[in-house]
Amino acid sequence: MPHTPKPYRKLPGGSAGRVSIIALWRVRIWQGLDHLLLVQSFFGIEQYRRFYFRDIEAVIIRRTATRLIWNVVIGVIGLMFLAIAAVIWFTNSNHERDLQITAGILAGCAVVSGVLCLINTLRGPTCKVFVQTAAGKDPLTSVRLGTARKLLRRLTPEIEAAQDAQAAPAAAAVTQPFMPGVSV
Amino acid sequence: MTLGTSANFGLVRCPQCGAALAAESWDRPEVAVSCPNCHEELWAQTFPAIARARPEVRSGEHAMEGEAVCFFHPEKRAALACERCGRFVCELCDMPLGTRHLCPACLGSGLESEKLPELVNRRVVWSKLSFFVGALPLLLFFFWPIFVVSGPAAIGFGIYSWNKPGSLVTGKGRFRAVIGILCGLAQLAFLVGLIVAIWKGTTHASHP
Repeated sequence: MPHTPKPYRKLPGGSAGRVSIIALWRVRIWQGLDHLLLVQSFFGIEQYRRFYFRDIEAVIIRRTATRLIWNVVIGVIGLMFLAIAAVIWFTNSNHERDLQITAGILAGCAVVSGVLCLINTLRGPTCKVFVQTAAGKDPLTSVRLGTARKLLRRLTPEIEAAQDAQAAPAAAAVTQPFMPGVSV
Repeated sequence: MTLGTSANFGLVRCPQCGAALAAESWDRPEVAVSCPNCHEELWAQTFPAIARARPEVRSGEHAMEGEAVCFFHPEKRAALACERCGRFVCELCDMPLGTRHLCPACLGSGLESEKLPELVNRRVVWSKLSFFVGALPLLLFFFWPIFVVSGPAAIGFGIYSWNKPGSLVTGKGRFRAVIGILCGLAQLAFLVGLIVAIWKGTTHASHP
């Protein structure tokens, strides 16, 4: 049986990418022969949006505050754990074993929160990628800035090649009369 | 062919506030630019299409004596042949679809029957549905009464998916369907086991 190449290649970026096996809702970007395919899937229902390379005028990346928001949320939770652990530890004048264990578990949770904040910070700033076409601007995906740049590096040569190829023959093809059997 | 508003022509606009970005921010995707209006941090990469003049809508030229004519407009000169049925079409009837050119009839039939993957905008992937309906209730085991519905549903969706078109990007996903069917069977097996255990418990209680 001949091997047929896959029509789409997965591109970097897309939410819920790492936990896709159990993600009910996710957005992914795929590269087709002449277009980008944005796939939004929810519980087995997939919706497709195509952006043809020849129509893409610009790719715009906007920095978002998602990383900061997550850091604040996780940080506040971690500080709460730490505060409760400190209160339990310092008010436990009788050195009760159970309370010491509780304080230790809460302090461990605070450390985990701190590690999560650190990982979130080290992964880089968050951003949203937009595609501008003649029809308007459409959000493509929300990713880390590094992933967005990787996506842009992958897309730029494809888009430029599609638009360069289109530029020259398009004008000639429409002005010449159609000759059946003769390729223009 | 792309049709657009003249307001967007040749301009990159801030996605947040719509303000036009300075020209020097273009083609330097590694350098962040602050939007002059909302001060959002932006990076932009432009492509030749932004400077391309919008193509005029063509209605097709009148055919001269002996020239090939459009199948749908016999008075118009043929510009291309439909890549699906081979009918000659004029510029008005040319329906570009990606890199292909189709006639209106083929485009219409493709829309109705989903035979053209380029026209599919939404699809129910039954194998995925089977997988979710089969696996999720097992993961959330404390909702076990739902097995009465989800077990048969997972098996049904899995079987139904076998000859249905799958996802445009990942294909039919028969492996997922098989897992879904197996999970559905596991749910039913649990229910049968539960019923048998209850039945045995009641018979033991009535005949000590």
